[in-house]
Amino acid sequence: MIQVEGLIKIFHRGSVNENVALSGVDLHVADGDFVTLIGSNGAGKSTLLNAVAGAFPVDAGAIRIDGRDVTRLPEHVRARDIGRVFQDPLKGTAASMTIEENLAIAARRGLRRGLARGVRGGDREEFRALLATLGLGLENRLRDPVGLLSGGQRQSITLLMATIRRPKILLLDEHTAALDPKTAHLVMDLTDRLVERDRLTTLMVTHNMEQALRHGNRTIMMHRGRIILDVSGEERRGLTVKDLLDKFHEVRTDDEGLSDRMLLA
Amino acid sequence: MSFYTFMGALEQGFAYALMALGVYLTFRVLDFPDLTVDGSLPLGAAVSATWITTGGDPYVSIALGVVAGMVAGWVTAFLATKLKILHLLASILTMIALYSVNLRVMGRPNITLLTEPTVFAPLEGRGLPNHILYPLVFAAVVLVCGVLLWWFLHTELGLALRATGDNPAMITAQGVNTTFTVMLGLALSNGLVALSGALVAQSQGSADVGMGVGTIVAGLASVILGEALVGDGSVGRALVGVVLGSVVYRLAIATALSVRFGDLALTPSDLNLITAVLVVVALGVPGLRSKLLRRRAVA
Ligand SMILES: Nc1ncnc2c1ncn2[C@@H]1O[C@H](COP(=O)(O)OP(=O)(O)O)[C@@H](O)[C@H]1O
Ligand SMILES: [Mg+2]
Repeated sequence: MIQVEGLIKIFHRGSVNENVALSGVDLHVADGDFVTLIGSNGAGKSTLLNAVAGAFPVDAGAIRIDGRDVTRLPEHVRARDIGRVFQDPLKGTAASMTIEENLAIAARRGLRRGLARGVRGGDREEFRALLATLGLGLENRLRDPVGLLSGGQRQSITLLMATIRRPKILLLDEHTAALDPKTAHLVMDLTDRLVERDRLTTLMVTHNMEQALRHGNRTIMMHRGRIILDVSGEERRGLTVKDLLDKFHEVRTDDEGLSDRMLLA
Repeated sequence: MSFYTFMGALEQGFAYALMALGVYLTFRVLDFPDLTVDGSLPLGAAVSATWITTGGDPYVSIALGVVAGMVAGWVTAFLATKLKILHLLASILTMIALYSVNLRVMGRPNITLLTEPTVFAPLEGRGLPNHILYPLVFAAVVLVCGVLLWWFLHTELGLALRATGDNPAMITAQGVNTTFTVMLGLALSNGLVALSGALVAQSQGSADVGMGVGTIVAGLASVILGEALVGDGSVGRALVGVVLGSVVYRLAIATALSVRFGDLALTPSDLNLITAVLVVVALGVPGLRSKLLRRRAVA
């Protein structure tokens, strides 16, 4: 479903701040795969998701979604196939607009937007039913501005928006990181339910190792713009948080060894 | 203030409410401070007046004026989105350029329409005196435009436009090209502003290249006054507020002009200063007040 080949992204190319965020990433995600993506800060996880979503042009490589080469397509065109949830709960919804208006916008993702009513009579029933599944009481607050809601409520709505029209791929970038543990748990539950309901091909970044192993069917670790670990199936089932931490330390130590060697040279 | 002056202020309030609705659309809905309006208001007037004086139909002249205004708004949007010029600067560039364009369109600094047919002419002399007729006509136009705008802002496209101003990252992720929505919004806004200019020119009987000076400040004053009076809880409230704000603003101006402080009397040329002070107070007072309240709470 997602094919990434030889992807390179360099920020501030040719300046003193030059920063190689992706240095040749190859990744094939099969239809229905739920991949969890971990790695230290600055490893390039967000950059990889943003590159797939089309937030910026890449310096080399190709990205295909469902067989179609999207490398040169602008972000809003790729959005037809992509559902996204960001780390910041404020980023996924329009605060000044009502819950039903936000959902209605998402319900038209990838369709032509014209002069028909934005929120139609039939929509409301559907929205109410969807919101009821959250168990947050939002089904009775369709006309409340989203800005009145808490971070967890907004993130839950963003998840509904990302999946209300079945996306070909779902991109989640630490979407529970800004929430308190209890809310994070609720949002993660909702994520699992939605992914299972529609068998969504999913790429989820998390800094929580346990979350990375408990959810999904494949785990990838990135470091310095590369994929350094890619486990699934039997091998993944045997993996513990400690194994992942060991792997982290291993690459860290390699880095230090490298810089030590450079110092010596 | 005489009844006659009062009706005059009411007429202006409704006439410029069309412009204020345009300013609301950019400033509040799209979060795009657009100074193009200082040029697109006289552009609407210039196109309309020129068309009429060359023998054209006054209704067609208004349509042409609106289209010209829409093009002006689109140019600003193009500079801001495609050429990535800062929005404020982009709109100033269009505004400045429009000064020359308006002079070119008219061929001279002002055009008199007193002896020409206007859209008001067929309504005159049917029992209602002009100082009552004109405010009514403008109120009717404002009502139609206001309802249309309310309807549009609740369509699929309208929701996309509102979300563009609220959260561009979100609406892009929902598959909307924000370049398009910004262009659409600025075109609609400046179309309304040009409509206002064209109608004002026809009602006051002249188009003048300098008539746009201070348009943005008057528009902002109306929008802010409206929010203070009615609130902005929903699009409907906000639109009603803008119209009300525009009327109250013109009444306040008329009042200010009618009072004397000893030897000092305010003249129309003082209006821009008064308005600027008004906007500063309206924008600055809420912050100042919460600061004072906090200080009092601490004390
Ligand atoms: N928009 C950007 N402009 C410049 N540098 C960026 C940008 N986004 C990310 N980077 C840099 O790219 C590297 C990878 O960042 P990121 O993908 O956000 O890491 P992660 O999500 O794994 O923590 C970091 O060094 C970061 O500073
Ligand atoms: Mg990140």
